[in-house]
Amino acid sequence: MTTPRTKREERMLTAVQAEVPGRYATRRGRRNLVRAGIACLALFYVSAVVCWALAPSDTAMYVTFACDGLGLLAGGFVLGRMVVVTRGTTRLPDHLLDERQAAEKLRAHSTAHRLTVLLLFVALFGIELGMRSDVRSPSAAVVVTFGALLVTVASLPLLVSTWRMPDPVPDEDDA
Amino acid sequence: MPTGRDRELVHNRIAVLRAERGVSRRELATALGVHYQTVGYLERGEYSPSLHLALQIAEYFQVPVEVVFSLRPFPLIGSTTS
Repeated sequence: MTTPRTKREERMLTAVQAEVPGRYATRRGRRNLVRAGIACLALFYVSAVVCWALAPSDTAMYVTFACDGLGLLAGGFVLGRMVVVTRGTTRLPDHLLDERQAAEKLRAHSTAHRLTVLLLFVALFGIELGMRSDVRSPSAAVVVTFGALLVTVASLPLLVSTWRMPDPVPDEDDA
Repeated sequence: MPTGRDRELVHNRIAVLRAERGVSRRELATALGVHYQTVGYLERGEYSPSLHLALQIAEYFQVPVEVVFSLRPFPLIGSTTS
């Protein structure tokens, strides 16, 4: 663990050193945060399913904008909380992490990688089931599905890290 | 023979040494170049340090590494068994 090299790294480090709200000091609180994150990700899949079923149509477009917009806003907020809760373990550059955080980052990424492989198979089977030979696949649905997968892959390490995190040590214990 | 999690558990006396020397968790963390939560996890036995970090901790307290770390639980202060 070394000092920040750039202004950006300094800002990131300051952001993740912020006070963690008390409700995330318990495993239950952190896991509820992860559940909220999964709910936000689910919105992207709702829009993907709607696109596969209804696109091209106005309904599909409005549902996609509403779900993805809400998913981005709420998901951005929830993931931001997770970054602070995990002290930036999955987001900070390696040289700003100590050996425990670096090991935790590797563990989170390897678990996320396994989950991603599983997700790709689920997506493949879902698309195969949804495709009908008599109807041309809407390109919007492909793009929205790709977006949902991309957002999931990007956030999985953070979700895994938050889920696995042990209870933080209270500050007041300091001598 | 220790089984399960005990097999990898490394007992330590960091909290005792820290209290004895009047060093805060943050001060120790800064000296070692780790996050202060890592010191907390070490003290709670939720994280076992690398050899490098273990030696750094021993050097910081100026004691041999076996004074700080052990594979067996440390005897309680005042206990007659070693």
